[in-house]
Amino acid sequence: MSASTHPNAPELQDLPVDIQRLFDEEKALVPLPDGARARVAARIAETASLPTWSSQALRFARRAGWVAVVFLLGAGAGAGFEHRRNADREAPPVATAVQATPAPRAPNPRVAQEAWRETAADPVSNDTLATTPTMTPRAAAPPPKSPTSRAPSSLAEERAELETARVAMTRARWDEAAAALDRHARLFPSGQLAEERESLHVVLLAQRGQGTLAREAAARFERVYATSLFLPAVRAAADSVTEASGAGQVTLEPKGR
Amino acid sequence: MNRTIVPCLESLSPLDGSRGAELDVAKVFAEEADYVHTCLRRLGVHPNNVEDAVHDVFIAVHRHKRTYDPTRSLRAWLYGFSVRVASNYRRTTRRRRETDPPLFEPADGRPGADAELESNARRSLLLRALDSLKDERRDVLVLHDLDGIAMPDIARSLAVPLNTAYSRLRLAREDISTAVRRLQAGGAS
Repeated sequence: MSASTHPNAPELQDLPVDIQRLFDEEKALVPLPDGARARVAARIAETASLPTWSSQALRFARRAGWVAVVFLLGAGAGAGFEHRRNADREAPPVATAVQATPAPRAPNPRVAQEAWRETAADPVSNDTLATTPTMTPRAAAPPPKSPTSRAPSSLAEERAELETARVAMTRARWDEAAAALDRHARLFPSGQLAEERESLHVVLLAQRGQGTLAREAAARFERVYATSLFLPAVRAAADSVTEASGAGQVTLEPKGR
Repeated sequence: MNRTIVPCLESLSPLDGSRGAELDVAKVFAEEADYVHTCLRRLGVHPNNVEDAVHDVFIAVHRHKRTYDPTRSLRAWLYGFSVRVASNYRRTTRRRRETDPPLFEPADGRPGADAELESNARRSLLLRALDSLKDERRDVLVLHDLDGIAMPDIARSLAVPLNTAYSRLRLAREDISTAVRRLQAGGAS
């Protein structure tokens, strides 16, 4: 190969013929694999529409961590003071309390995603997953409810449901994804993330090879959300899906608004 | 189940609804997603991570779309994001390399499988050789000899003098030849 494209280019030695052949073979672009384009487009649309959510979550988590540390230290100090005042000979519970309940750390997003998925699959713990989704591993004991604890934000709950669906879709767990979307539709029929839910619904239908349903759902989506950020992903998914032959029973009902 | 999604490039409208002078990210995604995907693989991102990496590149593009200079090569600009994203993914991949599946799946017994296997082996050889180059040399080599971008564009995109870019290209060609020979001698596949 010569660098003679530029008039002032210095004389360069070409690559050996066999290596040049390797380069020629490598020049062909490797297309994104099956299904990946629609998934990536959907994720880009979502991330672009919520550019600061992650940093907000991190800030919230850090604040919550500091609040927990201060609360535990205060409670421990109070308990220790009470013990000393009563001349109790047992060891003061300060250290025990602090050790038994380590302060939450800043979340690892990947771990957090797992935690959401696993926790959301358990209907019993659905109520507790939203306030601190990135700090609630499944094995951990639920935090004690204090009289001053606030109700979980419905937006966080909504997001957790959709994240469950999205993670399931990336792992080709269609039924799990459909269940999460249905759950979201049931709990938040007109929620703040209803638009995102409907877009995921179309992508899921497309990924399952249910082309007719996907196109119908996409048309409905376009009518309702004509200026949606998710429209590119929805169109890309619905327009390009090939109807599967014997794709299995349709368990996901198209949702209307 | 057939889950083939054929790209529907024309339907991808701007992600933020804007048109005009500002970079149309949806259009760029539609037209250059395959290029970014290829770049990331060339830059050593494992296939298991490449989908996430493509996402990260286009999010970076979205956030920097106002800084794009349309007089410059779009691919060289995208390559710059790809390099940064790939370096993050390579760091984790290197730690796991021992247990990871191969970059290319072994061919099966289909007709033409042998040829595919050989082709995969050649690509793997070249990618490993590229991976062994110094980053600044590899970038110029890939942009010029693989992507066919003109040297002045490359120099501008990398913010280096043109002569420096040429010097890197010359050294990179020497390095890649040496690296390929070394891998061939070592029975690289």
